[in-house]
Amino acid sequence: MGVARPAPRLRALPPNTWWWVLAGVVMLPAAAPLGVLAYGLVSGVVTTVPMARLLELAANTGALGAAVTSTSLLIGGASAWLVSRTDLPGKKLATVLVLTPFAVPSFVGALALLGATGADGILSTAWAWMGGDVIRYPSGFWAAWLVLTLISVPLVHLAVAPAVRSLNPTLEEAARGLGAGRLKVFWTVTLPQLRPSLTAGALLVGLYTLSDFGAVSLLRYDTFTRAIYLEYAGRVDRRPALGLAAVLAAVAVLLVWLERGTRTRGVWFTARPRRTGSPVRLGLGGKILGWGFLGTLVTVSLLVPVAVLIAWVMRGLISGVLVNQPWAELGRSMWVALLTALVAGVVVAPVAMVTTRYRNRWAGLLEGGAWALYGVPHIAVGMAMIVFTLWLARPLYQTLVLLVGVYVVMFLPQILGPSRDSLGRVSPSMEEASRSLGRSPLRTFMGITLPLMAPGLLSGAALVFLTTLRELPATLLLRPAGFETLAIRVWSATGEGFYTQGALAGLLLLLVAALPLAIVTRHELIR
Amino acid sequence: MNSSANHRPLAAHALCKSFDATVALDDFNLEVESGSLLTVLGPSGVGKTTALRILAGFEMPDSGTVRVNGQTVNGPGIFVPPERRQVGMVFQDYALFPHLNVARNVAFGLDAHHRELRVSQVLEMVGLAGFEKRMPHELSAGQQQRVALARALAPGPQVILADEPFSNLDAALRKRLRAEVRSILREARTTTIMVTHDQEEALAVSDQLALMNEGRVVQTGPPDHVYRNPATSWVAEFLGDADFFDAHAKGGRITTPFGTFPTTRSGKVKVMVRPESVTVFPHAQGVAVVTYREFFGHDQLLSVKLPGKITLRARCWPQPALAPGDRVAVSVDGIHIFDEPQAPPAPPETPPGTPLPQRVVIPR
Ligand SMILES: Nc1ncnc2c1ncn2[C@@H]1O[C@H](COP(=O)(O)OP(=O)(O)O)[C@@H](O)[C@H]1O
Ligand SMILES: [Mg+2]
Repeated sequence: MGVARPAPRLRALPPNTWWWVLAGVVMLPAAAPLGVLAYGLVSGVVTTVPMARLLELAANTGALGAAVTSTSLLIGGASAWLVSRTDLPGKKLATVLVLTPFAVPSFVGALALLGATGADGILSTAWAWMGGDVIRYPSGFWAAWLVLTLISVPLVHLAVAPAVRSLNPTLEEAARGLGAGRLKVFWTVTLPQLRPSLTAGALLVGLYTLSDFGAVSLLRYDTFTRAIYLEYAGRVDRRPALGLAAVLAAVAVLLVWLERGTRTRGVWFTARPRRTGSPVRLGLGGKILGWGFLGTLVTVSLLVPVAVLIAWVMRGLISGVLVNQPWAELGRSMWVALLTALVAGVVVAPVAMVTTRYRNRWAGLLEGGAWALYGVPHIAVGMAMIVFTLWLARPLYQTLVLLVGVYVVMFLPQILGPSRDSLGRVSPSMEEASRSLGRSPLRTFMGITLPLMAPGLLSGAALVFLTTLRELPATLLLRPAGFETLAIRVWSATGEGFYTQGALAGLLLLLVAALPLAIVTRHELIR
Repeated sequence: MNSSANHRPLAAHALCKSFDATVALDDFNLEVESGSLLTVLGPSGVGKTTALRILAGFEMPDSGTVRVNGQTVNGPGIFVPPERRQVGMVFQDYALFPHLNVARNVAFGLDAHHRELRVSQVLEMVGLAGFEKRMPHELSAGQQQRVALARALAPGPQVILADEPFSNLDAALRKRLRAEVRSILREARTTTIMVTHDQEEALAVSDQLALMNEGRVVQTGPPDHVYRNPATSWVAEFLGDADFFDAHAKGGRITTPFGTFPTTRSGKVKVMVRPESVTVFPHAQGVAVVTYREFFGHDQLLSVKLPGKITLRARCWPQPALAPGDRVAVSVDGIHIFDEPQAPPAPPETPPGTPLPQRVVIPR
């Protein structure tokens, strides 16, 4: 049966080295923004910003972060409890509805708020028509708080719902049996069990608020991200902008680090299989109240914004101002997002292989690097890459290569997570079996590892596609001249008050985001 | 012997391998005869898996050589990757490809030439004809195991390696399947190296045993030969129940409370007695006293205490029904003598309620 055997060959590299080399090459570009930001922090660039200004920005950003985090924690916690722990009818639908606003980019949310209640806004017009007073232009703290809170609720819901579902009912029953009242049980037994997931949700929201540029810039609330952009746009000296970016990045990395800490501890609370309690029975009144709450939430965070956008598009169609249609932007957004998803899908493979198969310091470093960069606000990455290309890589300045490269590096963890999940289910013995059956390492990877990794790669790539579509600040800073994406179109049209133009682009953005979201939702959100 | 080693399907010489501070293999030597089933037997952690992975090419030895059918595949400056060794592998977790059906799993190592024919041939051999279209998760554990075997057999490798191939099965299935696998391998005339820590399994199926301890092979040979002539007390104890006691050899014989035995040794020796070679019968003036009895239906195991702090176990017919305290006479049909005066390795545990006389070895 045997085939003629080729002569033994001298061994050049052990078979796994190539993965390490590739992973290193892939992650090397991540060092550029991190390096520049670290340099910004230690080199004294920060001192080009007056201390009073730094403190003012920190206070503003902190206040917004605290407000958004606490309110979304309350709302998201309540919706998670309703959906996961009670006998509320229509829970599947409720889950989808509660989670969908996450697909609304913050600048689209801001546009909806402005388009509803701003000058000429749909609601303000109706209000004036009914004889009400003129509404002030919605801006500043409360406007940003409203938009960011509504978008953050799904983040909290996602983080908390699994923990609520796996709450150990025997603990509560035991406490009740010992004579504790409902409220006392909630504070002393239920809440401590939920604390890891609540903390994780809070940190995620904090990070999101800290990083947001779209809403705060359109609603003119003075946080770090907006200040960085203003410094960048208004001056030739890049140092103050870099200094601010470095401070922002440092805070963000701290939050990421804290969040990852809670995640590993959270596993202990959520991953153990055990008896789940019978759902809490809501009476008829309770059910009406529950759906009233969820209905209001969905109306305010999803239905009203979409209706406002549609109304503005209709207005434009009727009055004929809708001349400048964003088809070119749509195409650009789609293909740059597709390209990013493809590249990410290719380059993630070695990083996933190395970080799944080897648990050593180097794998930890690669993974930590990917996550650190993921947490750094995009505007800070953009700023760092401007400085980097201007100083060290001039030919890359404002090129598509740079833009896609930065996208890939920023969004890699989104595809790394699902890829590693699927790869973790491929036992190394399958690869060894393939090798002993005569397949080379490459053919083994193509025939065994890749097909088994595919579901994770696909949902990760969909996530990257989605995120790239919605990305605003890094695109704004790094895009080639004239490279206008849908996101930029929404943002600039809204900033200039062309709500009709913005609304059409915004609606298109929501529509193209729906498909990858459906893929991701199937794989990730509803398990 | 050495010149024929060139034509062995597989031969390993002086393999050493360490992981950081752990020495997994320390001068490991092994040869397997064509068409035979060799079992590497040893307790867990002695380096069996490491040895097998080196033979398969999944792991690099620190030093030593491996030859497959006379060709060096591991040696100074030589490493032939697994895909070019013609060494098949059956994994403990079977490692079936979950996205391929049975036929495509089995065909994985075949080139297009005669592929279908070979697949059905091999599936027939393992008794799974008609299962071609099933996916791995639609098979029982035993069927998965046979698919794994078929897949390894299909390309006609020089040797098949199997790491604890039956350990994922429940006891009843394990016994049935090991007999089946044995006859499949016989029929295929394949050379096989199997690894296990289960001495009963090893004794039952192997043509050759290689006993392994602390990173090296300590004894090889056919199962009954090794069982009867263990090279060390460790081997004796690992292969089956055995009781030991120290004795003195003088003038070509050893005197024990149950008789005198000839020997070529002299001086301090260690005597090993297997329970099945001990016979007891009730006798009011007998030298021994029954201390413990376990009844199994088809036989019984008696623990008897003899003068000189010697305790022996006797595996004998269920009759007569003896009870602790009964006085018995003892006759022993053959003993084994070791030079080493030191105690054999400590047993894993002691049965509760038994006084600890000298050596009590627990049935595994
Ligand atoms: N990849 C590895 N890294 C570190 N130590 C290992 C590795 N593989 C095996 N060892 C160690 O080598 C010794 C032998 O292991 P192994 O070959 O698996 O034994 P067995 O299969 O006989 O149970 C053990 O002490 C084990 O801990
Ligand atoms: Mg093992």
